[in-house]
Amino acid sequence: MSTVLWILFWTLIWPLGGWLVDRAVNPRTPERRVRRLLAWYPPSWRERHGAALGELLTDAVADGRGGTLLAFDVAREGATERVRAVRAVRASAVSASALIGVGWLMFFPQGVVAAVLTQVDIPPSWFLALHMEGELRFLVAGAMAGVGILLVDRGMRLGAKLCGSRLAG
Amino acid sequence: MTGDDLTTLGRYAGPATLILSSLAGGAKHGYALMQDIEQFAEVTLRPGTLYGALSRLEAMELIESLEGDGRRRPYRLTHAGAGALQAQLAAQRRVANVGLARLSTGLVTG
Repeated sequence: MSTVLWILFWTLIWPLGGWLVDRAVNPRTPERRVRRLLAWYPPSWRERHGAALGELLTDAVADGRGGTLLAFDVAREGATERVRAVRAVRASAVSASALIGVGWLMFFPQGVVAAVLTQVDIPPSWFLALHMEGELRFLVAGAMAGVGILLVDRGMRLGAKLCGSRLAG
Repeated sequence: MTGDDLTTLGRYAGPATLILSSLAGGAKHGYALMQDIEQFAEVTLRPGTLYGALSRLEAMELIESLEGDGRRRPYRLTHAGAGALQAQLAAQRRVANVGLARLSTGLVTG
């Protein structure tokens, strides 16, 4: 029992100790307060507006406006921007998946497979090119493959951009 | 409703009207905007709300940021911003006129 209490005591005291040491090492300066307030915002937002908002917050704190209401306002707005950033990333991820999915369907089944199947006498089924006549079959299959490659490329680029922004964030 | 309609900004519509009205008098940076708005509207816009509205107005191209001195970044009203402000203020004036006219008829009881 005493061991459990001992572990509990140190579990609770350790973060408190860390906090006290942090306060002793880094005194409460306006710059530190502004840095902490800015941390509510997502990195992408800070990159664009962080310096200007930081300057405004420094002015506001120096002017005696840095109370609880300011902290609440910044926290609320920062949380709103984080939600917006997550939504934007999610929308981009859905777009990238759709582009790659549709692109693959156009390139491989409707493009490559359909071009091969033009040489075989089978029912056209869902292959658009096989519903055409003569030379038009190859043309449609080729167009499908070309547009498919373009879509997959766009999807991959969007996905890479997303991964890059996440790694940077 | 157009893309420049300030009502599309939701809870930022009020701060946006104040910001555009302030910028109609010339380019200003964040702190100067706060002080100007406090002076002419007696409304205190806190930094978080102010920058939330500024970033949205900039995305809608109703304002544009200029090169500033150091870290301060001044903002300027665009032509689209001036048009949006004019439409918003005209709508507010219509409401104010109707409200004032109805108040003057003396139908208010109690």
